[in-house]
Amino acid sequence: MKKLSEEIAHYLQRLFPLNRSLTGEGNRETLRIISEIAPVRLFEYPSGSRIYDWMIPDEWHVREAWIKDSSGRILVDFLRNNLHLMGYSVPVRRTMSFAELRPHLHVHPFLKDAIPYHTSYFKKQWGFCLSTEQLESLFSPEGIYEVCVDSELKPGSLTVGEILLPGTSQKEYLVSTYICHPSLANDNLSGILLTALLAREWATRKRNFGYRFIFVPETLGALAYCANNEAAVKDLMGALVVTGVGGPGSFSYKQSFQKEHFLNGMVEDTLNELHRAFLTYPFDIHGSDERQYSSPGFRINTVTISRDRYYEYPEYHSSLDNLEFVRPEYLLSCYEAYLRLLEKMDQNLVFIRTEPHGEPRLGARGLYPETGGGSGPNGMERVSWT
Amino acid sequence: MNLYEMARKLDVPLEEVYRIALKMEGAGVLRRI
Repeated sequence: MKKLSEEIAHYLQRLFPLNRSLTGEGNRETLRIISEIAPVRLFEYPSGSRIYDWMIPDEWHVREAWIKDSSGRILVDFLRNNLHLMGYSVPVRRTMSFAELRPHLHVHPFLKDAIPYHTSYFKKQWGFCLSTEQLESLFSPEGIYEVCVDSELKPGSLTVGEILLPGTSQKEYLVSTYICHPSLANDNLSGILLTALLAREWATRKRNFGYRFIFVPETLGALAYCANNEAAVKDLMGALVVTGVGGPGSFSYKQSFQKEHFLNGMVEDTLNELHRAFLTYPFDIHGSDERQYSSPGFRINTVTISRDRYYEYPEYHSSLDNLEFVRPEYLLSCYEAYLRLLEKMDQNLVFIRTEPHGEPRLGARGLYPETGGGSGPNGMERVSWT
Repeated sequence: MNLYEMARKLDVPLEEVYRIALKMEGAGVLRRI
């Protein structure tokens, strides 16, 4: 476990600074690094492709983005923290007054020292995110500022990663995580790393079912994968969405849309067996990619185990969701839970009797105690009525 | 009925039902579908 913990710490450090987004080189680099843990096959879905009710947008690239004051001092710099630039910001290079700049500056609603996380994937605009402390100490209503967003939006593709692990059965499960958030550690670098580690371990196991581990940009990436694998996705037995698995908070799980589905019971059994107290969130229409997998066209029961689930911790979607917030030991505790859950899922086979008439003669097959009688049941009758 | 539902019905761990089911499969009593 110590070795695994050190490995997690190593990959958190390497992956945290990358500029992940809906598309772009940060996603590819993330998947290339993750492939050191478990080989990921990359798929590229071109810009302009129709995905159900959506369209894959142009690919986003950023070289630099900053705001300077009139003395040339850099006040806010994308290269220092990628959260400073609103995701998918269009290019701009101008000098402007504070009044003109201010609508493009975003601060966190209640954390004064945190940079918030904002994107604008479909409305063409630019923006910077900064802490309230930075805004108040570095900017002046009378100031003149030079603004540079050296970005490019051009036809490219949306990148998705997949690890396919076949089983003896044609039936499959999905394990899905999202790769579109930049320097946010719990949401969802933790999920990316846990999913890769889980795939590596699961590849060494003898499996009854097949497993699709996928790394997708949230929403559009999930839908692009579904659209390009529609028959297989519609035939899935169930799915896991891995998110928010590295924080210090209590365990929780989000139920699938069918409360009585076996995945929900398995998650509860798993967490109880591990002696983990947990919160239960009933299914609702908010959240992550279970929104897509549960939609009427797919109806895949999908569950999530988290520690510090999205929405539920103050640091969510801010620069304080960082490598001080996430720790290897927290991530390991979730890894242990997901691994045990996979073990249960894989044991959930369906059998029929080869001779359905009457009870099977267990004794003839060496499955029944050789001495009959006795004072009570012996256990084997439990399965005689399969 | 899947093994999880059976385990719930019998109030025994899934792992135990799975172990016995594999044994019975090996003996030709059960066949997985």
